[in-house]
Amino acid sequence: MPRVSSTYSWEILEGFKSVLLTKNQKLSVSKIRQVILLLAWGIFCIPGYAQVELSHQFIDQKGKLSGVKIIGTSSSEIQDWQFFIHQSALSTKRRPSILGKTEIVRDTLFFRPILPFQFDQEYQLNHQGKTIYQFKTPKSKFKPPSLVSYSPKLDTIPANLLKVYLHFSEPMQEGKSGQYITVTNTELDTLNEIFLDLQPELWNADNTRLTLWIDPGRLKRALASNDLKGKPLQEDSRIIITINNRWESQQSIPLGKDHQINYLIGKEDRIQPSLKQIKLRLPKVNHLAPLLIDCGETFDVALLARMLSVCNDQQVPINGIFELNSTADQLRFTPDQTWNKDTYFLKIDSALEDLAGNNFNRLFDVDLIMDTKIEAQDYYWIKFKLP
Amino acid sequence: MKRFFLFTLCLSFSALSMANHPDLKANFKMGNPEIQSINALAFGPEGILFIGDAKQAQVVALDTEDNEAANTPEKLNFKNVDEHIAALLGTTTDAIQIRDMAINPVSKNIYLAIHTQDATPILLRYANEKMEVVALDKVSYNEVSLQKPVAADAKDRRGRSLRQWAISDLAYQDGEVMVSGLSNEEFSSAFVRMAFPFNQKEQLSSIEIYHAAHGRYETYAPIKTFMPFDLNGEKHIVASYTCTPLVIFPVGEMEAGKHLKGNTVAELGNRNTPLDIISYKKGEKTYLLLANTTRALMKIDPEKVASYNDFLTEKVAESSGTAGVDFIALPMVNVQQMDKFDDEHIVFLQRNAKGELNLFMGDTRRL
Repeated sequence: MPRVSSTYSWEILEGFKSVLLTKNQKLSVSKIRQVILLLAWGIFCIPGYAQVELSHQFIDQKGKLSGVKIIGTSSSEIQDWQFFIHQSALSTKRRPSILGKTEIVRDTLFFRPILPFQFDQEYQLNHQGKTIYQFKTPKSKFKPPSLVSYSPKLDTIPANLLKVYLHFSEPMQEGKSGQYITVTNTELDTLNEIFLDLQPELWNADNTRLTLWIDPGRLKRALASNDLKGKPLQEDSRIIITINNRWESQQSIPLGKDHQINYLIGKEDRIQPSLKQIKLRLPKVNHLAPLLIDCGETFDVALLARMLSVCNDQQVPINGIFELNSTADQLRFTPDQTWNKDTYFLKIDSALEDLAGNNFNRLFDVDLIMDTKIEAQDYYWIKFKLP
Repeated sequence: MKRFFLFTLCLSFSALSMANHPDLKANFKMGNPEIQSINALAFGPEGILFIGDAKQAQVVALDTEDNEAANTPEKLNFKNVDEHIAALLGTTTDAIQIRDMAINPVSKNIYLAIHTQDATPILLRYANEKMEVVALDKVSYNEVSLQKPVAADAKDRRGRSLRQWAISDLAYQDGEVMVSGLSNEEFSSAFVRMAFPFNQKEQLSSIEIYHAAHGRYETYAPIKTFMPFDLNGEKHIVASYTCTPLVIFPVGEMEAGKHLKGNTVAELGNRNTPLDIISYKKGEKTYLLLANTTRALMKIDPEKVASYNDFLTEKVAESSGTAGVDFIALPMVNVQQMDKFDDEHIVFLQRNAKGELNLFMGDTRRL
């Protein structure tokens, strides 16, 4: 039988502290039960078993315990050692052991689970079917996430708004928007079925920006949802979008406080964007002053950032910086080098959408009787000459 | 979901495919495809699993080396499969998502795409009544990028790219991989066809698709799930949108860069997002089966789809809010994933009334 000694690293000790009583904590039945169980486990399970060392070298970049080292395993086979998660709806009998890579080097057993041990979870180590050690991993030390921005950032939105973007400070857990985002009116009545519960959700690569769609089935005229449920947003009403404080980051830290977005609902936007609405205020040639672009309406901020470019007389994009005003209807382009030609182009990707999903080629939904269809093209160009 | 259609018996197909495709894995390489997400799965021939990886904007063809016909299990009833998977991974059920499921048409082993709460992708295989992890770091594979050349993607203040192309479905048929996608920015439908084995020099075919509503309105919309299917002897795509109309497209008319209008053949109810579509046989007759978020499993006769010419010119009047081709609502709800096991059986991943997520086999004679 392997021999006993206990040298636990501080991460694990911190985990145990969260189970044991602290100085000013009130005694409760559950807390007393925890202490008794721990003592009982210590008396019956530790004797006769190995030093279980949970070393710093197995803490991964995210601060999670990614492996354990067990010293004194010379008389054991790999399959004798198994790790289990403590919290599970499965009975102990049906609960499978944690998948991972196990190696024995001389008298030391190394175990690396497929996934690092999770924050704030209890695990147990079994030897030949008998639990010999339990440990609780520490809580996550990452900072709480927050909602840092959203768009459209307007007081009034069109009644047929298509998208809302939420920007978070930290990568957030996926698949939770339906659970943690609610829409209410000013009387705090919940407005159901505003956002489409789309799975998978539409996140950017590192899960800091979520795109929410107002249910397109209700926005599109003559579809079943629109006919039966009506428009999702009613003109002249107000809505409050609440992001619940319990939504957690990928590091298991909740937002901590509710975030709210208030909108007044305006008229529907069923006007197709056109080049006529875009006005330019031109800089002088051989100067470095910015080109001012008045879009004539608010566009989708995410698309605006990559669907506009300023090109030289050969229609090749020139380098520079775009800056957007807070209402996303005016831009300022400052080139890296002075304007040294007299002719330039503003290039617009036809897929650039306004807040209602209308783009330069088509309306969000085209009324074949009332609307005029135009011939689609990939890009639109506005030629301008500098004074 | 992501299916692979067997048009002939397995044995004859294997022989035929070997003859037609001398070596599908000739341009495979050993290494790590750096898969960062598993959004969709679909099996091709010879144990090749196609993995749709949205975060890397790629489709990876993975040699699973799982290419031996196995004894078909008589039944499958794996209760609380999410609890089991969570325990295997040392975590809890709220920290995992089952993104997709595909059955290897040769071995009949079940593959599950899992994402953890910190977005780590894991591929699991259920074989011989045991759940195991499929390694993704040292594998034989080939990949094709879905990324269109973009001059300058928008980045946030930390220089992170914001644009993402979410793969909504993936299928393989007759030497071709098909992918549908949802953009997290522009509201449009992207549908890509690419030849397999992948040829990096070959251009991807991207088709923009729109549909009509009651003959009066036309609209673009992203495809949520689709399947290739023969209608009237012609190859078609049967697709379901995020706003749930069922639409068909003739594959022969799909050309790169083309704006293709699909024919809406049914509206399947409001506030319902389609999850999955497959075909199955009951006796000698083939049916389509559609799983939904809020509606029951729908059984659709493809002959009615093929012969439907009305294209929804009338408004939906009934309270059920459905129109077009008839369907039968089967007494099964909350089916999250499904795939064809064989012509007589389908494997379902379903959450039951008790809240348990179960993986089980259903007999098509009961559907």
